Amino acid sequence: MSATSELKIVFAGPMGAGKTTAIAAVSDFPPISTEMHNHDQESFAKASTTVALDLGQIGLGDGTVVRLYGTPGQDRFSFMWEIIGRGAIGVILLLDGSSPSAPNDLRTYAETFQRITPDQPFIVGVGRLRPEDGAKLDACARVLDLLGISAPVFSVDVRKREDVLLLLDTLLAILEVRDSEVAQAHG
Amino acid sequence: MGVVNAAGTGPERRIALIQPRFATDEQAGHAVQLFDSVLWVFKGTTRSIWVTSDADAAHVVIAHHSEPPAQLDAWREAGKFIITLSTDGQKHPAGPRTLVYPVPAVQVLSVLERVEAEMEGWEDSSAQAAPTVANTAPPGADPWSFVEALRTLRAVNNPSIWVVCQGTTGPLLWIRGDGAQYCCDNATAQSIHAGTMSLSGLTPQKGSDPPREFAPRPGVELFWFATYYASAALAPWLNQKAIFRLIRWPDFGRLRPSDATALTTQIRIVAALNAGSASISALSVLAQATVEQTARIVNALAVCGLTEMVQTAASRPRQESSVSPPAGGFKQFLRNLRKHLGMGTLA
Repeated sequence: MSATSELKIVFAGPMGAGKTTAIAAVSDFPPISTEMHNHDQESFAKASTTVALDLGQIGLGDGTVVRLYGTPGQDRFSFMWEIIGRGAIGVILLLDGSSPSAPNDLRTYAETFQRITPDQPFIVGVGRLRPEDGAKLDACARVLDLLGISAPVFSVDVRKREDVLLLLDTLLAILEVRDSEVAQAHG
Repeated sequence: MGVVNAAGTGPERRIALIQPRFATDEQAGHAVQLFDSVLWVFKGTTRSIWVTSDADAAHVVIAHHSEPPAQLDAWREAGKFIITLSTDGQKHPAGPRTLVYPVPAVQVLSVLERVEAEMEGWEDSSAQAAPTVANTAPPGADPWSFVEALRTLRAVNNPSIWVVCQGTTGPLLWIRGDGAQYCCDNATAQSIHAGTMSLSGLTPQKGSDPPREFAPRPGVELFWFATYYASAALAPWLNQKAIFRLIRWPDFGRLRPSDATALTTQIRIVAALNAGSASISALSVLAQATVEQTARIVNALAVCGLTEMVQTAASRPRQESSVSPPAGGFKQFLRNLRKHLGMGTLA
């Protein structure tokens, strides 16, 4: 069946943050790990590079299809983030809260996706946090404050579907409010 | 492994009676023996079928206070419920999960019933059924009294003390003197999260440290839920005509309600506030929520320091979306996607 509309939601984050698990929680089929070759050899000296990304999908009854893309986590494949992020209706960034690099990872991804999709919702889910790890979540929120980005930062366990739905629910709520704002502005 | 209550009809639960290895007084062994005897004497009368087992297989572990803290923590982290037997009431006083030898049988049964209720609470939590902890506010109680007490506590900011709230059957809730942590049993915590326990009748008073078996919980949870459920009216320290600005999103991973529709509404109210500073009435229109729902969220945000009052309303600057809307428009798409994923929908 050909889709009447295609929309894209991106799941970004470093390796092991749970992107594949999150996509699997809501996709109509198990995520497909896709291997792509790097054809952008002008920008990237390496002649041949293989990049793995995850792809899931949600098909709606009216023919609309939502593609769920999991970006490659390795920094060296960050050029892929731009390709995948362009045209997305929102980005969900997943971080490993137990990693000391989480705030730096957040800064890197936030800066990149604010450049690629500045007008779209950006939601942050931080995993592997214990109840007493509130300070780690605060540290992530402060990174966004310093970058001037007002984005939700939630503690999540993406092995739980309800937590993945929380992230998506938030993304959709932001889009809904924007839609209402536009409708109000146009009377 | 022996069946303690073969006559029971409730669920089978495994209980480990740990022989004291590190105790210096012989009463420690007597305390464990007494607990074992009470279990046998009352077999058939308890709600669960208690089956003794080793600690690894047990749901509940009965241990003397001399057991090394690291071992107790390991059991706790493995999801086991710990009941401590004390033979020194001065250093290890009685608490919700601590029994002081010689233990009256009724106390043994009482603590087991409490643990059973908690276990059932955990088992039911996947079905989002929160148990109700018996605590009702006195008639005419000020709905904001407990929240005001929390705010005062935080203002005093003394992390070296704990205050205790007494329930109808004993200590219910311990709050650290700076409000940053609180402790209680799981059933009480679930009731606080679900709003099924009235907090307005509670009066925090200076007391002892919380029992070790209750892991500290982030105080923001208590501030958030106590305020959210206190009243549907705007909090007395907030101005109905004020303009509110979002400072930071709340962590809905930790502060979410169990109901999906309520969660969606709460998220949308915060998303509306994130779009720009606005009054309660303007927020409720933008979020398609009632004024009462909006007031509850603004109250909770305010008490957690996540929103502030500002002079004028202002929208957050934003670029036009570069994404083409789906064929039926965004509104229809969002509705369809929510339905497909089984999320809460607009009321």
